[in-house]
Amino acid sequence: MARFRHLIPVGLALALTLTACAGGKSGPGGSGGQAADGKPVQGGTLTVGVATEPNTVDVYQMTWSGGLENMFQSLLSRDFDYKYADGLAEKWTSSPDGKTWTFTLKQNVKFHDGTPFDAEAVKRHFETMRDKATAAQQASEWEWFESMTVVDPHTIRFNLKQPFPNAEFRNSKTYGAIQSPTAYAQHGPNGDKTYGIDVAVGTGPFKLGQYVPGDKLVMKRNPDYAWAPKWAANQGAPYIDQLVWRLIPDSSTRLTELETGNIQVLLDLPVEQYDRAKAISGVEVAQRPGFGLGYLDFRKDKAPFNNVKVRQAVNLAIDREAIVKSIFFGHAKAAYGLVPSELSSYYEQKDAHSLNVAKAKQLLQEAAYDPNQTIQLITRNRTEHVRIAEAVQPMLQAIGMKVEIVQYDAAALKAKQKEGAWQLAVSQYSWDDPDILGWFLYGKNAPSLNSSGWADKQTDQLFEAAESAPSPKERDAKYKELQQYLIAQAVWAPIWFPLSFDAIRTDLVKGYKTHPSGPYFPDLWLANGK
Amino acid sequence: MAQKSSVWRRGARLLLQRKSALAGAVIMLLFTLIALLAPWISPHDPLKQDLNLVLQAPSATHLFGTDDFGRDILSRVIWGSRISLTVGLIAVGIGLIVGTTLGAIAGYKGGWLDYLILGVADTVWAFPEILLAIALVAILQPGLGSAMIALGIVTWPQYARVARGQFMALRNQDFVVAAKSLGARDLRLIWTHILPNALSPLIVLATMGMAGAILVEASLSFLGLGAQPPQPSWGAMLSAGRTFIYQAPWLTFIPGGAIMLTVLGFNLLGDALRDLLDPRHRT
Amino acid sequence: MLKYALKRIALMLPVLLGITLVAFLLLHAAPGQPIDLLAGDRTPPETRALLVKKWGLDRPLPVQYLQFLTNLVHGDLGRSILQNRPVTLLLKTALPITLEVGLFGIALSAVAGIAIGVVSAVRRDTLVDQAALVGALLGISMPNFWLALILMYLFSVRWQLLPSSGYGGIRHVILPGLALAAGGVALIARLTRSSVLEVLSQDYIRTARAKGLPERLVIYRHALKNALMPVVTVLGLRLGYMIAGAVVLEVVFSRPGMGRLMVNAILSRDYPVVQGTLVVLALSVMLANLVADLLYTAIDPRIHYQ
Repeated sequence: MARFRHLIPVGLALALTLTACAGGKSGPGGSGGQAADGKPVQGGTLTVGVATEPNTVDVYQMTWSGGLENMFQSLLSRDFDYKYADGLAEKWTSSPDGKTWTFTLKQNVKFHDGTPFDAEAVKRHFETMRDKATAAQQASEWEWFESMTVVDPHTIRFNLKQPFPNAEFRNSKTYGAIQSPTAYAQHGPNGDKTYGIDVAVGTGPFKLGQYVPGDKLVMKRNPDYAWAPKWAANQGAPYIDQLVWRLIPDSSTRLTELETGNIQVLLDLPVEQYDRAKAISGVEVAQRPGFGLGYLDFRKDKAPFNNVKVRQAVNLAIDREAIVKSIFFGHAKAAYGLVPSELSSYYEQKDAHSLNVAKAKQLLQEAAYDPNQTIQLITRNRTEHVRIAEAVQPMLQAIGMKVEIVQYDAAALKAKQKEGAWQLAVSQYSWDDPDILGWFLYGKNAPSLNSSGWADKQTDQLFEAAESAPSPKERDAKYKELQQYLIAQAVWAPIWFPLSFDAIRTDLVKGYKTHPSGPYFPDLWLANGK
Repeated sequence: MAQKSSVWRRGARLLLQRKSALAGAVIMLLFTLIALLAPWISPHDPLKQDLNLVLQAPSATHLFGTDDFGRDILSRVIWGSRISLTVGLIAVGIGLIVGTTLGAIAGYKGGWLDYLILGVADTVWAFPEILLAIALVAILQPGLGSAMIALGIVTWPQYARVARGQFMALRNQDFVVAAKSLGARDLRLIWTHILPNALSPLIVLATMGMAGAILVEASLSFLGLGAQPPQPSWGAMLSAGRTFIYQAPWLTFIPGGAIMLTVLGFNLLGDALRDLLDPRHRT
Repeated sequence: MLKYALKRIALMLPVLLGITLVAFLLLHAAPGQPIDLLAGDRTPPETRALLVKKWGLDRPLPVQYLQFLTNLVHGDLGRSILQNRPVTLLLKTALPITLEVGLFGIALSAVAGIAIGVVSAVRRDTLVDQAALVGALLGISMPNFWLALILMYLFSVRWQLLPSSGYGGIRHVILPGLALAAGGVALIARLTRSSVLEVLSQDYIRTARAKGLPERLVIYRHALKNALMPVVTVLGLRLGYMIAGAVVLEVVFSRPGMGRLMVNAILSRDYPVVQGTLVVLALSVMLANLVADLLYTAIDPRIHYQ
């Protein structure tokens, strides 16, 4: 359960940083553009303030990739309109029966260690990823193909048992980025250095300078970089010499640092600081789709939430509009569905998720709910979820549900989930594909990923049908069917769709244009070149 | 001549002491009254949210403004005094009772027991207190109850050390030796003869300890380990207010001011008590 | 004196042992395991088991603790489970960050505290004295993180004079140092004041005065030197407080120092990091106390340690 934002596993969070934005809604920040900013200037250090750092800069082991798309590239990328675009591959096709995917790789691409990037490297990379000994965090994301064939040095083919329309998606994620097999063999697990901390080798516009966990990640310009995606304004090496990611966990401090110019870009601005950031002269606040969902999760195999009526009652007790207005100051969207509203597979049902206290009370009565019991609502401490819990508590009180809030640290929270010692939890995921529903609710993913006690045959069947649909269109249709069923079962109580905001000192940083995944750093330059 | 001026000085000093003691007593009394009378004097329900009235600046209806859930800050500060004082009292109570008991045993018995107790006390004392408290709360489960227990565990060594010193000094005093020769039993001896005489520095320490406990509780709540929402703990209010320090600084300043005042009250009182009860520290 | 120092150092060992044992037991009693944070949710059970084994967390607790001690004797503090780096390396980056604020804070509280204390004592019972007394009490009574927020609000946001976060250079040290020093200044000032007053009433001062030495000389040459003894001890003791105080302040000021390192390690059950930081912290606190005690003898030849 609980896709707590900061422990977000697999690529969940990667969505935020790598790509995003269905339909290409760009935020208000897209105005600047390079034409108005004059001629790019070479040099200088750009510092980015972030709230979360990657756990490691090893593609195999990372569970959070914030910023790493600047060091590592995948076979595909996403353009300003959220369409799949060229990455390390320039062309890609699927066979008519959907059972092979063929990628034509760009030529003359080199890893940061100087070794050539070719089909052999791709093959070795994914073999290492799937090797049990690597213990890769995302190994299971790469089980969709059976084998790989090196057709020629610049063509790689994935051979599948059954169609998998989501291959493009997987290959556009940073967790699917290709790192140098040579470097990994030399410095990897049994190598001479700590791979992912002291050394990490990709093909991206920046290479690893220095990584000081808990403090900063320094990336250095890759002067050889000449294989940018076609949608990038700058087709060559980055303008800036250094890109520094500074971890500043305290949000007020982070904003103050932007104000004083010590950082020039601030990612994931908390909504309560929106107005203040906007008021700073020279700062532009850009909105991106959040590609996520915040919700209440139920322990569904134990009383009282094993009763669908109790779960429905909770859904009707929450005033989503009020939460969006007051807790998020309007900078979020009320959620009436289970997957991000930007996705083509989105399905919503307003009446199931709208405030209706009378009906909620009636449902509780029908369920013979004992109003004297105290429900424990757990959340992770030191996160914004505590505020959500605090706002939800009186709303549940209003329908006759006594709720007590308990905040845990990350480790204790995990332990509680594992023991099943929870009833209600504030949860959040960030992900831009409906397969997230399977993650949390598919029977085979219990109990580690599906930890809310949901074992349901129909869910499993609908999910399997969606994942093996022959075309993206049919996949969407199947997923809508699944969502309809899950909403009827009230498996979650969706509350809000987050929006992402970045604050950029456009007086100091030029060339900025809103990309759904946030600033594209190789395009940026510093006004004074320092 | 010198004699005379010293008398005057002493008089002036005493007055000064009385003044600060008075101030301390008034502050403490005030907060105790506020805590006791909270249900009657609090203008609003401290937990009542109004999501349409969040972050309102101080006004006639909300003297101290409203917080990020539209709750009345004045009412929350008033109810918060209950939490702070209760936590202080219970935490100090635990520390005082455990510490004095162990310290008394160590000081009265001496020998290997003394070494053992002193060793344990030194070990606990060598931890930075907030870190030990954090670890303890993590084990117990975040909440006020855990915070109080943790604070008691963190602070007992100082009471133990003082009690031990007192008992060591007193056990050889004439009146104790006399009572002992008359056949008084250990427990009776400790209870009726030694403890009353050993008490004054402990009382001073406990008063100061209240101040310390309130501060550490605030720190724990600031880190999300103490009071759980929606409880109106001052530390938790401060922590929540920090996010809005730019739009709504009163969210931070008011609970912080309440903490400072209360702690100041205990410190003033502790100071005065020390001067009164412990002549060695007279200034 | 050397003998005394050696004896004191020998006594540190059991305390150190006790501290690490207590910390070890506490952390293992807390719910949750570092591996759960290390492994993603999709990590298969076999991989997880592999990780548990790799970090030796499957062995019985006594064995784990003994292993820690053995490594400690060899100067090896182990590796961080979550960051996969040697603990010594983490300490090497974190310690200076905490120390620079801690030392600045101590220096500030010593200088300001002694100055205020002496002035208070000399001008006893005047308005200056009273103001200093009240100011000192306010300083002690203020939560340091609250003061930190106010300082940040004024100096960084309002006046934009100093950076509000980070480290590197004296400008970053000033605000956290001030917030940290506030309590210390108050304490030292009060201590100095009472100590100076006590010394001033001693016979040898009276003699000096009777001999007609100027008051200024009496105070600065004779009284101050002796009055400083308890102050030195307390300064030594303050080091521990400074580090404890730094815990919350490092969160507020975003300084990746010992405090933040340790809080995060506790909350994520990164056992080796907690143990390592604790050993270093406890050792430095105990050494500071010892140095303070030894300085005593240097200042006052009348004291001898056996």
